Amino acid sequence: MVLVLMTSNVESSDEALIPAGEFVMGTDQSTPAERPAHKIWLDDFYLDRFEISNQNYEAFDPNYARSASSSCDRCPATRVTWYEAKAYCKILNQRLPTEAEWEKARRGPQGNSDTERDTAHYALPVKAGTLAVDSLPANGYGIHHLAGNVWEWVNDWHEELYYQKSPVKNPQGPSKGLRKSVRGGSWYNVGWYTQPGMRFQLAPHVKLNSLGFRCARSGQAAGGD
Amino acid sequence: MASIKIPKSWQISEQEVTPEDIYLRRREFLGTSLKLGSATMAAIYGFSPFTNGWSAEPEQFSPSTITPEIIASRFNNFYEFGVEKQEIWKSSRKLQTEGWRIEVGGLVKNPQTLEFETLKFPEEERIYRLRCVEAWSVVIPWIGFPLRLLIDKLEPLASARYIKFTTFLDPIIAPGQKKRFWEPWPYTEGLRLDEARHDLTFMATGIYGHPLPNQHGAPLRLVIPWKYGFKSIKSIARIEFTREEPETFYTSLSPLEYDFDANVHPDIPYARWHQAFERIPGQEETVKTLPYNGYANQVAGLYL
Repeated sequence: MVLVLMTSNVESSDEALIPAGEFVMGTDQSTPAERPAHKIWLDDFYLDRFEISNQNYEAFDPNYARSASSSCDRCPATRVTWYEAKAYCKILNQRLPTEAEWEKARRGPQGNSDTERDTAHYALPVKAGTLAVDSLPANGYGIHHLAGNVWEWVNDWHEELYYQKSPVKNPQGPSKGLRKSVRGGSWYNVGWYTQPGMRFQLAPHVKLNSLGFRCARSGQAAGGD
Repeated sequence: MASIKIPKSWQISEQEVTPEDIYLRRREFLGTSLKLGSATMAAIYGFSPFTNGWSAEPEQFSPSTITPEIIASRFNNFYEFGVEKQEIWKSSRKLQTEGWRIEVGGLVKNPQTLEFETLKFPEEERIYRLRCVEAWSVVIPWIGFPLRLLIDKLEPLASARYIKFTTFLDPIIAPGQKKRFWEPWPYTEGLRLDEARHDLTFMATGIYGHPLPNQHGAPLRLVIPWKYGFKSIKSIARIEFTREEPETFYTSLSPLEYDFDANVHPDIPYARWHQAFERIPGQEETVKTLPYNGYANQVAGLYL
């Protein structure tokens, strides 16, 4: 696919700052991929408060076609490959969040919040589709729809037992792999899939009606991107 | 007082599937288990017409022959546990069925949770053809009870027109529910209420004379012999009565390929397979598929 870049029309993102610090990543209550629960230190970083919308993405790729289940202007862009998502973020001087960044943001300032799931958009018939990216209340960091609405690409390659050897500071994921990690659940899936620690994997060229993304940016401690 | 059992029109006769001399010797084997029927014993003890021993006659080979259990129990679709049919009997072992519960909800007099062990219905054995949408078929001796008996016990409201079934959700022990995360787990299926009340529609708790093993959908599954096999949902954990046609796993996932009825029809290609012929696992040749999988006389009237 040829991406037509129209950078002057790309909107700047509305970002939340996630302060540097430690959090517990993973869970002992799931499959080996999520085990063990372990402490991770992350430098401060910014994460988009909203999933990238159709309107956002069309400014980047005029040939992009909205999916029927996510068709409104402010609905999340879907059917976007990992490569396309990465390219979009790059044009804004951002990047895809690491898996650790995504999970820290999802867990909220208290580190283990799942109250977002109570109001998230999930477990709905196929005709329901997505909601606009700012529809539901934000979590403690001011970020919307990390649980539900659409699955989200993260930057990391997926390795099933990565947590058993993951560095404790700013993990970036394995250096290579076949599939990328995907997080967060979607409108199409039941609540179990929205849990903060659950990891899923998908080949980077795959497009799904229920899969979108958001972008991140390193903070001052890391010297920006 | 002696009673006469009048066979129903859909029944596959035991003599049809088992050589007569073997059939007459069944009492020897029935002594080992009073619950086993002769057809079941044929499959368990290997003297079905598929095997070389026990004076099997070549002319007895037919699509209405019971599939040997060793084949039927090692060739299964249960995507919750993977996509390799030959591996499901092993990968499904993690499913814990002790203390199994079935939620009942929707348009029903008493929403409740049923304990599987407390379900008490007169059980019978039924030998049914099962036709997979992937164009293969087996003949299975099920044990269970007509779904109608359970529906009557549950007392759906007059406004109920459909029944929806849901299987378990446990991606920690069912790797397919995690690997194929984008699909609408847990698996769901549904029937019109008149289909569900039909005499052929069966709730199976056993197979080949013993309780269902996990790969066949323990502890409780549906068997609808005139529909493609994916309608016969396994390991049922929830039953719901609805006014509207429920969305099911496949009508949700691939509505252009799958419809709600999913009746076997040889003249209509369905999903990604032709449906004119079917393969019998363990055999080389294919056989012609019949309308409604051979049960047209019993069920075609539902669709006039």
